[in-house]
Amino acid sequence: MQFLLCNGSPRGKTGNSERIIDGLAEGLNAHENILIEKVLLNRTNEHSEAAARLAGADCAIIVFPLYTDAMPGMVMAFFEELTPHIGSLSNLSLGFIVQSGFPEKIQSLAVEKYLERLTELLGARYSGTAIFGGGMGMRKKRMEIIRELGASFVPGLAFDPVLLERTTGFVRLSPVGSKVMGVVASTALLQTPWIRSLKANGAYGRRDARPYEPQPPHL
Amino acid sequence: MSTITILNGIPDNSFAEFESGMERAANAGDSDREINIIRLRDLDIRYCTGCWDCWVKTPGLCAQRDDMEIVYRTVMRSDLIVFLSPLTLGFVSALTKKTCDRMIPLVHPYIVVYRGEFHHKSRYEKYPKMGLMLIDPKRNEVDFQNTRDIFSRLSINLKTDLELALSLQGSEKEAYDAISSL
Repeated sequence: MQFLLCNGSPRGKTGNSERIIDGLAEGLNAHENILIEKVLLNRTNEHSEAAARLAGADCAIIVFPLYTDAMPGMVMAFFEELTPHIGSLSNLSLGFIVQSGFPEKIQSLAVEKYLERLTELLGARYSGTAIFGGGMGMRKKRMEIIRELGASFVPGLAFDPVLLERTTGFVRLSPVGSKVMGVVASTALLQTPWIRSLKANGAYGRRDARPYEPQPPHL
Repeated sequence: MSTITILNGIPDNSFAEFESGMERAANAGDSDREINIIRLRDLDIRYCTGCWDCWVKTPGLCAQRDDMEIVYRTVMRSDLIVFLSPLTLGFVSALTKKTCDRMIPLVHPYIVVYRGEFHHKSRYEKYPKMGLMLIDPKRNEVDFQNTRDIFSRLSINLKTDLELALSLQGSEKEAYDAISSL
């Protein structure tokens, strides 16, 4: 059985998507007769070839970070390459993994709906979408869930719905949680990684720059 | 005087009549409105690479030196920006999506709770309202709804509101009427 694992991170091999793909592959490799191929979608000049490989696979899983509430532009460019295959991928099982920096699942639910629709348009079988919130760090527990997602993907060729419930802790903040986190966010606590990076780059003093602030008209 | 900017994400000449209708409406000479139409396919717009330089190295400025500079300046002096795209595999074109991705220098890296969700802090005091025009000759309601939902979320991230969402079939008259009604 031929699997295609697509890394949709603009950062390519250096991003978290690659680690997710490695974990998935490890889980899938627990089974026999699995052939895994990987493609990097940040190699945009290879999209045509990647689309052909996806069309010929039994199963594909596309992994990407959430960019402005949906897939990164280069992943959408890859989807455009699939246009000739609309309605014709009935032999393909297609799944997705979306990871976002923000912890709530709500951030990725709109794109999840779209991904299910994309699969329908292609005529493929929908294997589900795993959403990982708070994806800045690939903790040990998270990697275990990813490996389990891979291992349990066969033979049903779909993500285990019980595991999908474990990928992200909560859909959205409760009203109380929202108030508490609002107070926390007003302190430096939540901003520490950003402050550290800004200072390391000598940019902290310019953190509030507004280079595109409209200038008032000359009188 | 209000300033309206159409970010035209049609990637080719497939909707030439529609674009002609838009131009005609924009040039109709309304003294109360300035309408800018930016044809994104004519610009050099590169993909966001997720480097975060715009947040942690050169705050507010993208590391890519390309024609997004034109887009940023026009967007930030607008009262309304409208993303225009043909429906493409159930969503907007990649050209439109990569332009959306490149909007992140307009917000701050710091995290706040906004409308009960985690979001990035505003970098600017004021952002333009947002609109979406989706060209779909078949006017598929599911695709329109899915796309509108994603742009509604994008508007929250850009600290504004999705004030307008239209599904259009792509005729010259529709374009003229839609732009004239803004």
